[in-house]
Amino acid sequence: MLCVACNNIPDCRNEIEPNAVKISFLDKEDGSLVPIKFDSIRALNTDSIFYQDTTLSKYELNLDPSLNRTSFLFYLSQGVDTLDLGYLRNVAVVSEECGPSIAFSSIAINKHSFDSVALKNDFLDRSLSENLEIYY
Amino acid sequence: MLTVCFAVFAQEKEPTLAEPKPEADSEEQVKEKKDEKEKKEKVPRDFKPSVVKLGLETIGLGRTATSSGFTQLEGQADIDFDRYFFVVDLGHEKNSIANDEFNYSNNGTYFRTGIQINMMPYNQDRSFFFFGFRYARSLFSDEIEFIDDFDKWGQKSIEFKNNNLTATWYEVNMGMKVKVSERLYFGYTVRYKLNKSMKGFDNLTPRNIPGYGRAGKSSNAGFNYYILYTIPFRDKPVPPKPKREHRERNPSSEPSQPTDLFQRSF
Repeated sequence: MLCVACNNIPDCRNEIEPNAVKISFLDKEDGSLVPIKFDSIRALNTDSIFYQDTTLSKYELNLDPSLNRTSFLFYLSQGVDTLDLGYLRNVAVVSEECGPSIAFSSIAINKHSFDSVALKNDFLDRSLSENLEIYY
Repeated sequence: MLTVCFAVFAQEKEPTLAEPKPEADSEEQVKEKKDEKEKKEKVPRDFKPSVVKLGLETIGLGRTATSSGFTQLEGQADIDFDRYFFVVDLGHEKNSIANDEFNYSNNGTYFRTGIQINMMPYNQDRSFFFFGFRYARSLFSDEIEFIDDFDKWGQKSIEFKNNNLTATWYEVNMGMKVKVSERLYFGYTVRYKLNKSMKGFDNLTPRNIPGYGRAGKSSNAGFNYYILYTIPFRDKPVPPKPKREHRERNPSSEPSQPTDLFQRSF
């Protein structure tokens, strides 16, 4: 009886689509993962700071759900790099309990200030390890 | 006595030379006989329509009365062509799902049209069981409004809308229509909806298709219950049930039954 009751509660976390683009920083010479320290990572149209004083080789950045593009700003001690991404959004009602979910697809690099950026996967999915590779 | 018995038996079995064998029918005669027989047994087909049935779907009406956020009104009309019925269903459906965070609504009209085949054409009550096929099309729109807390992006209000959506599908049907009074029929239809296609949507994936159900399913099942009123405009008798052909027994091929037990008891 208890099991039946438990099964009736939907796990909405698994039903809702992810909204973060996964970025890996790679060494431009040997292609290995390189930890990069950013003073902060921000985006246009929001006051939120995505990361602050962080050193990582992989970052996850949430896309703006209200627009079809997001511009990220990567603050370093020696300057600022930008990455402008375009994408499509598709909303679907998962269930009455879980509500709507936005799926992001057709991700494209509009412009950037890095030396080299490669798009590996143009959609967001939990199973993917990365969407973009930035050679540093 | 024995001699008499053998003589009688021999006379029954072997035709004498004096009695000529009946001549076999020629091919033409056989064909003529067959045609004549078919004419006698064939039920005349009458494809001239005689009655229109108009109906109202009751399950949708029941759901409309009992559940909030759902409205459905569906009618049906059919006309007879011999044992075939041309059927049209026309409906309107409005469906909404809402909670504190979101409101999704879906609104549209649909029609289905096709043929029903009466599998009981000789029923004196004109009640019948049928199989049928339909082509269906839905024209609808939907929209969603929701407010959510998107992590780094804070609380955002998002709205998407689809106008002029179309969906088409095909149906295989079976069901029954039972005469309950002079002009009134009750009937149900079981539907298997398949080969759905939908176009016209952009950022919002429709959740429901009016008349079809869940848009995410490539095939769907359905059940409808109708109350139908008949409007006859021509007298059309129920065709007589054709008699099945009984195989005629050939007396010569049957083993002859002894007429006199005494004759076999020697």
